[in-house]
Amino acid sequence: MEIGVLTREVLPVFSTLLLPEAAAQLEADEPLLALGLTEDNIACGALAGRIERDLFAITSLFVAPDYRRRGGGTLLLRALAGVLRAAGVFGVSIAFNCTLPEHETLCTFLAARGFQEQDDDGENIYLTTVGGVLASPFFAAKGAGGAVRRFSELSDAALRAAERDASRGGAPLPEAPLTSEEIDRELSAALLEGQETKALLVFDRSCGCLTLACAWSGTAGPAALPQLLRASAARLAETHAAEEPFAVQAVTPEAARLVRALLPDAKPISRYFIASVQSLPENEKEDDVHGGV
Amino acid sequence: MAGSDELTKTKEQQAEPITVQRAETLREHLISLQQWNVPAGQTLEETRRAFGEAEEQRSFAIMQRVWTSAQQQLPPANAAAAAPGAPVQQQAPAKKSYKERREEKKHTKKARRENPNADYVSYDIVKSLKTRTRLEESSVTPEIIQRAVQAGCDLRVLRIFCSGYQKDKKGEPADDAQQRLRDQDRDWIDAYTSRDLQRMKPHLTRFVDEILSYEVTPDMLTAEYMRKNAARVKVMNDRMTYIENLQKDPVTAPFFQQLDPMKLARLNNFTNLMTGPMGTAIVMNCAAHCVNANDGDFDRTGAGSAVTSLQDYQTNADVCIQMIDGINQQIEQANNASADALIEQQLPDVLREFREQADDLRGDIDLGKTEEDQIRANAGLTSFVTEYSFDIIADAREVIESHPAEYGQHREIVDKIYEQLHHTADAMGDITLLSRAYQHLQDSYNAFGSEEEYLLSKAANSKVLAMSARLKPYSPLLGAYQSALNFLLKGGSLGHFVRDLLIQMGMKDADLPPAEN
Repeated sequence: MEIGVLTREVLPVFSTLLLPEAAAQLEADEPLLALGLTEDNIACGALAGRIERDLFAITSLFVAPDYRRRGGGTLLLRALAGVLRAAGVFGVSIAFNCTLPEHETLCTFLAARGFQEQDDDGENIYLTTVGGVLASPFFAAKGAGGAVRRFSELSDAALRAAERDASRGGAPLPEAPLTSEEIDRELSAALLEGQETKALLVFDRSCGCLTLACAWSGTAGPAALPQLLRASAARLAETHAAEEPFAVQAVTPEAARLVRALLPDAKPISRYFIASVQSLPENEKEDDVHGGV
Repeated sequence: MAGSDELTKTKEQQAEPITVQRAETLREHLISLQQWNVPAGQTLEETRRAFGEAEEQRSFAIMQRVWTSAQQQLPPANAAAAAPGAPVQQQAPAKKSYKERREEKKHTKKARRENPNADYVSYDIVKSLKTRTRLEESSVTPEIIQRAVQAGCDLRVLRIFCSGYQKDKKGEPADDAQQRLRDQDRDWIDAYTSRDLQRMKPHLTRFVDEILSYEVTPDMLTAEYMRKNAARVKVMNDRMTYIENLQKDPVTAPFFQQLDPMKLARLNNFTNLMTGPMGTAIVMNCAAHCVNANDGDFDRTGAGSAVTSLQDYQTNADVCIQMIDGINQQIEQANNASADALIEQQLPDVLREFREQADDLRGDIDLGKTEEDQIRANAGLTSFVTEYSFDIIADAREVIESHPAEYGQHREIVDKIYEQLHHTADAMGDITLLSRAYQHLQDSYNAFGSEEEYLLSKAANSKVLAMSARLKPYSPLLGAYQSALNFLLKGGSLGHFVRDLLIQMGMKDADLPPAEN
């Protein structure tokens, strides 16, 4: 197996081995380092990342399934460590969501190669199922209809107005606009007072499954969120199977406490690892195969 | 940054009496660190901006070193193929019914009488265009034409902006809707031939709004779509063409000059980019089916009707059709650029207003009327200031001034940290000013849902996000400076980032405890 530097010229061959965002950044000549793993002229793995706050943040790390457990992942990290040492960069980080068995494997792989997992005060992405949500006693109570409107009932102009109201109110909105196809309009809902949006919930698939991406109560008061949550839960029961995965993003300690209280069985899945470059593999023997990712 | 070894001074050096003991003298010393060292030929603003940019460019400079290192150590990656991919399936067209095929056969027979290479598509295109011409003539009668010529009007403009109406057997409008169309046309004709801008304004507004509502998609310019909609597509393109005539007409030009700038930009971006390719696609599609797009009839001249010529026309049409998606993207980019430019035009006035507010704040604090202001006074902040900026300086001063013994032990590095903290907070002010100004502009467009307001709000928002990205390194950096002071003077905790910062500022790795998680 061999390691090389990825450039735009060879991106078409390696692009399927990179996360789409990393591939797009490489295509757009953004400040990104990408390394490619090959065997017998076949592209079988890639790593990409960029400098963030003096650390090298790995944004994409993947080895094709048929080429795993042969040291490819270790080779990539070793090459990266050599590059970073010479450049005077002293730390490496990697953040990802753990939703598949291979992500758990990645956690084991990273821990074995000098990475330490960081605590985040509970601000994480929590994973459960639709059934797990509906089983919570909180969602068993019915909510009053009131002025709750599903996004599917609102025009694009009304959604843009809601987005503006929420943005001004400091809501942690997802990156995609509320009018985009990435937003689940059947579940997402807003509390309206006349033309003004007072509170809203936004569901999308930003964590790789159905996700509550934003819960904002704005100026509507403490009763607004329960009202919206119960309305959306009722719709959830009608439209999604119980075993479907469901994720909630908690971006503040208060939100994390709320999630843990309402969904005690939900598992935190966002993982963040840091390693000192000094602790990464260096000049290991060629036959020392720890298993790739 | 080079620095002395703070923690390995001799015992004698550590025992030296601290010369700056009194709070006032220490305060004066700290104030002296706040001075910007402005190189000759550079203004204070340029120095401050260079400092700020240097911090922002740090990440990029480090990335440059990483690239260089990678290129020196590793070969370029190369491979002939990759791990597995997935194919894309296209949807097959629906099959035609027997009745539909029979109609097409009949129309092909009629069309071939006019041109041997024409077919049912040609027949339907001609039928659509001729229907449009008849409608137009219902409003634009010979008497109207004469009146228009005498008034010096552009007949093409007059015709193309009339809708026409359907008549019943008595020659009257067929129903209420047709009546409204007739009345609207008459009103437009009277207004245009009067050459009175005030009378024309409601119609001009209507034309602009209509054109801005057009959505041109590649499928609209295919032969299949044009079979039934040739007239609609042609009218769209003709109106996009002739709105420019109205913009140049000295009588109607003032209307466009006074139009909302963003609306005018949208109109111009759309017509400038789309009219030509769309028009060419229409003409080529018609020609490929033996139809003259200009007069809406079969091409009976025979010229250009050889099969190879028809294939060339179709190829040209296909090329234009394939460009449409790209052109729509260009229009969106042009609209975004126009919105950006309009936001930038408004920026100076907003900046001036915020700077005046900041100067008032700075003046109030420097007066030192309250105990809190006395601590924060003379912060030496030269750029845009906020309560936060003063608090940063005050908090740092408070830590230093309340730990004189510890300050004495680590004076050199603490001075360095304070100076960097001050200059970072000051440099941050320029970006904070821009961020607030853009946020103010964004808020001013949030009231309504018009497309123009949305574009301007979005443009301002992208600037706000850009400023947020530029500001992003500052808070952690200021936090790191504060944590470094706390660690050195109060024995606070030492995280990874702060530890690395102290090493960069001259402390030795071996002299620092391990970082805490």
